[in-house]
Formats: sequence, C-alpha cells, structure tokens
Amino acid sequence: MGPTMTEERTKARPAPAPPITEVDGNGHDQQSIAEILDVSKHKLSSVRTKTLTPTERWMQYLGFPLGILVFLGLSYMPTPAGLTVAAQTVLACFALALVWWITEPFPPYLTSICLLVLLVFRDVQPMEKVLGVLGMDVIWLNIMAFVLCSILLKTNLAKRLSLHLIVRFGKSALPLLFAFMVIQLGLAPLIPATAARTIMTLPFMLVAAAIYGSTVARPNKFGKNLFQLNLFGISIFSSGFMTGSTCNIIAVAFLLTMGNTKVYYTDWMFAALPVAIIAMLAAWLIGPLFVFPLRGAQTKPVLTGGITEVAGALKEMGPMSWEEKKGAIIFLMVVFLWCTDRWQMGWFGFEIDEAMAAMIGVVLTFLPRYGVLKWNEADIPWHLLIFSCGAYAGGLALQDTGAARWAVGSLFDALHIGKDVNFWVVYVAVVTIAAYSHYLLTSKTMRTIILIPFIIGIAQQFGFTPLSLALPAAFTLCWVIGLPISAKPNVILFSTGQYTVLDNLKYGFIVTTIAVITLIIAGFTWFRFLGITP
Amino acid sequence: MRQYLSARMILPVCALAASILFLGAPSEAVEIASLTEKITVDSSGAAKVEMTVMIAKAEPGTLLIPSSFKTAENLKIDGLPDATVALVEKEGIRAFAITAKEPPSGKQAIKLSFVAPGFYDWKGEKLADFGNRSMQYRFMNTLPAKVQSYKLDLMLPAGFVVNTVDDSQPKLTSKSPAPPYQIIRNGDQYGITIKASKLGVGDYSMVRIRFKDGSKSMAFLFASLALGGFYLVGFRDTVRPPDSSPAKPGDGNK
Repeated sequence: MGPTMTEERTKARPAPAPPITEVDGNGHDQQSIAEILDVSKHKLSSVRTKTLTPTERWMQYLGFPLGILVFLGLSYMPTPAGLTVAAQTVLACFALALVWWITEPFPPYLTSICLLVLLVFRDVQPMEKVLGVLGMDVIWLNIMAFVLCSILLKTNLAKRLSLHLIVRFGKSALPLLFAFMVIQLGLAPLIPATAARTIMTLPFMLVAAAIYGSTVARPNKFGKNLFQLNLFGISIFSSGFMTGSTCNIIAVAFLLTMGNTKVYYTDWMFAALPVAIIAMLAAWLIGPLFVFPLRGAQTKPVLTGGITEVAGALKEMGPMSWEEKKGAIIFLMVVFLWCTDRWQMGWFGFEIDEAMAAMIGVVLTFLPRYGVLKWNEADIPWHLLIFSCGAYAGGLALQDTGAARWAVGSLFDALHIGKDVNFWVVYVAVVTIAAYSHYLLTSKTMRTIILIPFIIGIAQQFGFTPLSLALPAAFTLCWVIGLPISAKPNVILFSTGQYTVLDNLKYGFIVTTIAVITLIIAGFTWFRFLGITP
Repeated sequence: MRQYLSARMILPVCALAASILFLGAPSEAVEIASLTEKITVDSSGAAKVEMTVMIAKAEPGTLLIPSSFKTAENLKIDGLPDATVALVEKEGIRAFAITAKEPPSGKQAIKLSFVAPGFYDWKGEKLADFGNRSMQYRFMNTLPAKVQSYKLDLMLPAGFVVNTVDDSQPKLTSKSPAPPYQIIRNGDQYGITIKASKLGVGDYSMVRIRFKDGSKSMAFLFASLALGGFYLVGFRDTVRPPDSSPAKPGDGNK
C-alpha cells in the first residue's frame, strides 16, 4: 500500500514507553521506583503504537472484511417479524462495530466514529440523538473521574496509599490481587454507585500496576488481571447486597408488587453473597493462572531493589504534604457526597447525582491559588472517551429501537417452554439468559425492567413461585462484565488502556460462565436450603 | 387550571357531549367485549377493513359501534342473522349502526368488512429523509359503550416496511416491561399491531409509524463488498512481519 504501512500495523496504545534501566537474570525489565512512579511518563491521554503478534496481524487484516460481511448479512436478510427496519439496521451496525473493536483494523475510537456515522446515514436515529451521547452523564462522569484521578496521582496521595498496600500485600501478584478484591468487597455495601467505587480505587490500581511493570505504554498480563479483576469485583460484589445497585432494589420491588413476595436485606445477602464470593474467588485464581498466566518474574514487582525499595520509597515520602491533604479533602468530599446520596433529599431538598458530585470536586480542583491542578495536568484520554461515546450510542440505539428487547425475547421464545417442563430446565434457562443478556442490553435498569416481570410471568404461568426464578435471575443483573461498554465502571477502566476489547470479552465470558455455573449449583443446593428453590 | 383544559380532558368531554346528542343519555346497557380492526392499505391509498366485534352486553334495538372511517364502501356484515349495517354520522360522531331481529349474544362474533377509499394520501404525504413516509391511525371510542379490549392490525402495502414507531397510545415508556405494539409480518406484507384495553368514551388508541420501500440497495451492497476487497488487496502487507517489509526509498529520512 505504501511506505508507512509498517507504522500503521499497530494498535492504539496510550503514552510513550518509559526508559528501561536494567534487565534482570530472567530477562525481565527492571526499573527504579522513581521511574515507575513518574506519572508524567504514563499519560493516558496520548496514543502510542505497539508491535502486533502474527495472530493479531491476521485478525486485523481479516477483521475489516469480516465486519463488512456480518453487517451486510444482517442488513440484507429479510426483516424478521417483531423487528423494525431501524432495529435490524442497528443490529447490523453494532455487529460490525463489535467485530472491528475486537479485531482492530481501526483503533477503537475510529470504529466508534464509524458507528456514529452509520447510525445517522443508515437511518437508525437522528443526528441530534446520536451526537447527544457526548453530553450524557456517563461521559461527563468519565471526564470528571480522570480529573479526580489526576489529583491523587499528581499530589502523590495515590502513590503513598498504594505503597502502603504494596508493602503490606504486594510481595507477589496473587496476594495483591486478592487485597484489591477484599477492598472491592468492603466498598460494595457502603457505596451503591459502582462508578464511584471505580473512581475511588482507580489511582491505586494505576500505581500498583506500574510497580508490577504494567503501564499504559507497556500493559502486561498483571495489568490485564488487576484491572479486570477489579471490574469483576465492582460488578459481581454489587450483586451480593440488595443495596449494591439500584437495579437490585427495582427487582425486589417487582417481586413485591408482581410476585407478592417480600425480600429482606438479609434474605438477599445470605443467598447472593456466597455466590458472588465463590465466583470472584474462581475469577481470582483462573485469571492469573490460566487466562492471562503470570509466570516467574511477572509475579514480582518490577523493581531493582524489590519490595524493600518500595518500603524505602514510602519512608522517603515523609509526612503528608499540604498538597496531598488538599487533594485528600477534595476527594473525600466527593466520596462523602457519593456515599450520602440517599439522605441528601432530606438535607438539601435535592439529590446530588454522582456526576455532579464529581463535578463539584473538579471545580475545587481547578480553583486558582487554592486548587491542586492546572488544566494541563489533568490527564483525560479523549480518544477512549470517543470510543465510549460510539459504544454508548450503539447501545442506546439497540435499546431505543427495540432491537435488544427483541433479541432477548427471541432467546426465550427459542426455548419453547411447554406446560409440563421441569423446573430445573426453566431455572437453568432463565439464569443463563439473564446473565448473558448484558451483552445486548447496556442498561442494568432496562435489563431489570425487561427481564424480571417477564420471569415472574413465566413462574406464575407454570406454577412455580416467583421467588424461585426471579430472585436468582436478579442476582445476575449486576454481572455486567463482558464488554467495555456494559456499564460505567467498564468504560472507565477500559479507558486506562490496560486491556483490549478481546481481553475483556475473553476473561469476562469465562467469569460470567463460572458465575452462572455457581448460580446453577447454588440453585440445587444452597437456595434449596434457604427455601428459595423447590 | 391549565391542566384541566388540556386535550386529554377536552376530548372525552366533547365526545360525551356529542354522543349524548347522538343517542340521548349514556346507556350502561351496551358493552363491547372486544373490537378488532384489521386495516390493509393498498398502493392506491384505499384500505380494506375487517372489523370483528364481540358484544358483552346488548339491548334490543339498533346497536352502535364506534367508527373512525368517514366512508365505508361495500359494507357487509356477517355473523348476525338477518342483520343490516350502515355507517351513520351525527354531530361529527360516526358509528356503524347494526339492526337485527335479536340482540347479539356474547358468543357471537359480528364481522364487518368494507373498503375505505383515500385512507392514505400518497400524494399529499411528504417524502422525508431516506424515503420515509409517515402514517397514523387513531381509533377513538366516541360512544358510551365501553370497549373492554381493542386490537388494531395495520398492514402496509406489499413491498413496504416499518422503519420506526414514532408514537403510540398506549405509550411505550422506560418502565414498560413490554411494548404495547408489535411489528407483524404476513407473507410479503409488514405491519404493526397494537392493543389497548378499557376504552371508555373519549379514550383512544393510536399508532404513528414511519415506513419506507423495503427494497435494499444493490449499489450499497456492491460498494461495501468492493471496499472489503480493496482493503484485502491494499492492506495485504498487514500480515507480513514488520521486519520483512520492503524498504522504500526515502524511509531512512523519516
């Protein structure tokens, strides 16, 4: 094609690589802690290139025509009953984008822009609606999240707290990953907003990843494990508590109003939390051992002096500086607003949305003289925000045109559930469809509204108790881990550039499958003991 | 005060007032268990209409069924022995007046069929972007007899497809577990079905769709395939390892 093709044969990756200082006996890069924690070298906002493996090159080469074939196949087939032409077209456009996001013939942000263009020119949605996604709260929250994250990184507060965590648990990778899981488990009942939990822990993930050699410039398997395990922890532990997410509360309300069954906080927790913990323990073991295996030196910090240097660096930091204290005050104020949302109506007469709470923090952050950051110091990965916009626009179009609803309904119809069907056949089908439906429906609330009344209806139709089917299905509502666009935490963590769409698809699918199997086994055993299933 | 003057309030009041003029005092003695309208639009703009009515309660005399149609050609009635039917209008309220020796029982399905000329104005309706056209149908119960269940099947001429559903009554909201309407297909004909229940006097059910020619562009198909082909040819060096790329003159100056 041209002399620049070798350069084009790359994937979008943020930031230039830091200089390598030493190579250890095993051939692994060893860097000083000062270099590793120099955040100016790991900017999320710049795009860098990466040499591809032969498999990735073939995927990239074949991905473009494959995407077009999938698009044409879905567009040109006769419109099925139940589907408008706009819904059929959005399915085709989204499938094309999904193939391109996975195979990456274009960088993800360019595929997203292509999707936006297609949605308008293929007559799916009007331009105003498609472009309006950039103004959505999730995108604003994403921007504000990266500013807040920059506060902790710039003031060295993230470094201080992460070094504490590493000194305590970070001698090797598995205990450190476990420590992050425990943190997410602890935060889940306290802060219902999953995005808030993500933003709170993101700076620590970034520093911990850097100490294990996974930077935005050179993401490694530790980073893939760390960021995705945190994502799974944030989502799956939310299912362990009735207050873990709004969708859980909506599901409980449906059970009460349509199924005449009251579910108490402890009923939910005793049933769901063990399932969530088992699924997460499996994810913690399977990721670092099989999916993205960490071997030898990959399980240790990439430091010339090992963990003792981390301890030394922590000691060198001395007491907290005034800048750190200011950063901590702003951050804690935002966390306070996130944690107290349920009481704010009584205090202020209105409720502060999580994006607005973050925005208040950002106002204080940029205040001249008293703030802690200047605009240029805020590290905002715009290319990945554009990716999120395209993905969200696609997801919303799937929802608005009824395509997602049709696809979920078609799955249930395909089961041909008859009158004399065995309860366990229905149970397995219901929890499986409920869990995997997050690949189609990007809104947890919408998924709850579509699925739970439908499942209560199925239970009533076949003479089962609504609780036996709808409650286990409700436990899966928060398991939104399969795609970078499945929920706000997914968008935020993907924006770090530490893993690809394919990585997320692979690990997310495996963990979803493990969680579904755990839920099915729980249905036969634990839920029976609790009186949920017959 | 303004909310009391909204269309939602005014329409039933007007309908009730008109129906009182039409019939005298509202009667509770007539109740329609179900009313189904199947409207098939043809390419001339005329619509073939099949209406099926199940009566829950009736009284001797003329039975009135609400109508949204101004004209009904070739109007026929079936399912009720020795019955006659006519489209009548008084004070802007239209209804099918059915006269029979015996009042219909709940088990009898009364079937009306007719042709409504000029149902869709092909020339008058402006063609929108991407070849879209708009079509709306509204059924309002203008009579005191309550319609317990209402169903509409609106079928487009062969070759046309429903692109989007712009509005409906009952409405689809973010809290609706299932939409009140569904896209249907009968052979090569596409259409939409919508259901409503408990339509009292002044209550209505409606649907507004955008539809267009269902034929697919062959030019777009071949252009897309050609684009894929060009990529395979033009980007074939993508699969070559980076170090085996042939050096081009001037590369060293980059």
